[in-house]
Amino acid sequence: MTSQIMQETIAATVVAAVATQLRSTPEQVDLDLPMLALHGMESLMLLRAVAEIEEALDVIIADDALAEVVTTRELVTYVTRMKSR
Amino acid sequence: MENVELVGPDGPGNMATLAGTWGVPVGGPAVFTWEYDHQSEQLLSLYAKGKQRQWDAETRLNWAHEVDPDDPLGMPDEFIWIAGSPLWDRLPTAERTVVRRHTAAWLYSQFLHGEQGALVCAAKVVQTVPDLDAKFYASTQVVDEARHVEAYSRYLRDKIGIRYGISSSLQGLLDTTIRDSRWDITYLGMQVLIEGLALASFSIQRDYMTDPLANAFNAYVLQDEARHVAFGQVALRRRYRELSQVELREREEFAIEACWALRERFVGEEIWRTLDYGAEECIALAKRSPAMRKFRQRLFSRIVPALKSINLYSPRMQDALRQLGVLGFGELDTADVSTEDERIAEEIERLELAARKKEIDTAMEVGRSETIPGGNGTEGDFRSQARIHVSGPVDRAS
Repeated sequence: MTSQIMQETIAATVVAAVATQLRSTPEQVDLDLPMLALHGMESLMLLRAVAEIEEALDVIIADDALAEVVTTRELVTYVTRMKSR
Repeated sequence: MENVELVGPDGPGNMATLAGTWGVPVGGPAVFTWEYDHQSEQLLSLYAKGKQRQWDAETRLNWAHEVDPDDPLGMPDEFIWIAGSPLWDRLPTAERTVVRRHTAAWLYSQFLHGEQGALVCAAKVVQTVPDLDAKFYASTQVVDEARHVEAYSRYLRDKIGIRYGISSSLQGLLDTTIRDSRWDITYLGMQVLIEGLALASFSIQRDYMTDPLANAFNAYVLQDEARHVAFGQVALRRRYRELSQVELREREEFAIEACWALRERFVGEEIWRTLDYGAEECIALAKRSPAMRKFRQRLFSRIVPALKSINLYSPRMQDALRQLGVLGFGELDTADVSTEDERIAEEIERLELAARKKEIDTAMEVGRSETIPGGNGTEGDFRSQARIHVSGPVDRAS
């Protein structure tokens, strides 16, 4: 189980990593849009965000994760699940 | 380029490991069949395509195109595996150029050696596969692979100027694939696993490099490779319906081991040991890099659906793929990807021919205007002088 604080840290880290690639603020990231539909996002940028999240949270995000994870909210859920293993 | 710098496993200039030959014992009988009636419409159709879609790198590609000697592929920084790291940030510009050239050289050297491996394997398949339809098809693949070896060798010699020896991971996989006397193991290793590696690598070259010669070259090669993979799947699907669980398990173990090697060990180790910036740090950076993740996505999005389609997809196999973090790619439809590969190659060819025609028309127009006052130019002269430019990729797929 991940604590409430841990969940909040995960969410903040994931959203910040996505926002950094978009050169925007976390508040501007629409959590429910497909990440590749976010304005200015390209697949390699998304992979850079994934690498940042892995490093910041010490978690492994599988290569096939982005085949099932589409939105930023889903990525938060996925990383939370990985951290609670 | 007149002199090609050679880089072996022990560093630059070790000619002993780069010259000569590598012998691998090839077991098993050469099989004749007296059954000349055709058995498989699918294989015959692929054979027909193989015959019809031969192309000659000598004339199809614009070898007159001059690449940037410091960046011969037009490689965006995102595809330098150590780019974006503090180590990369510390490197002076001149040293980054060295990394760029060596990365291009290592990649194209592995493509070259892999294509030679495919040439040898396809020739072995001609001998060992029992069905005549499969022998027919494999014979077209032999020619395909020879053309690819010719072209990658020329690209390395004329455009990049550095050649690496074969990487240990690729050599290991080739060794197992060629050495085994059973034809289906050779197919599995070459047509599914090594061809998967080729499809992933060449598609990245086609879609992301900015040099038009590199784009076009790899698009044409990919069109051939898509046929080879389809052939492997048709033949293996038939074969693996006939095997026992024990025999299938043995094939799965081979495939799992190869997948791990491709995932963990195809990271340019020889580059980092040659350049000596701290090899272990560079290898670790390469494994984590977005470019390597992109490569793995493309690699396993080709390999995993192929394994599924040939019935090497037991619960044990799926568990191994899950541990590798690639099982999710099993849901993808590779037929769509292959169709797209063909479409892109045809589109590039169409644009290229249009560009050639335009340049020739322009040259002829100039010729006419210059010959009117009594010059010596002829249409033929200008045709031979017109430079041919290759148009860039039409679709930068993700």
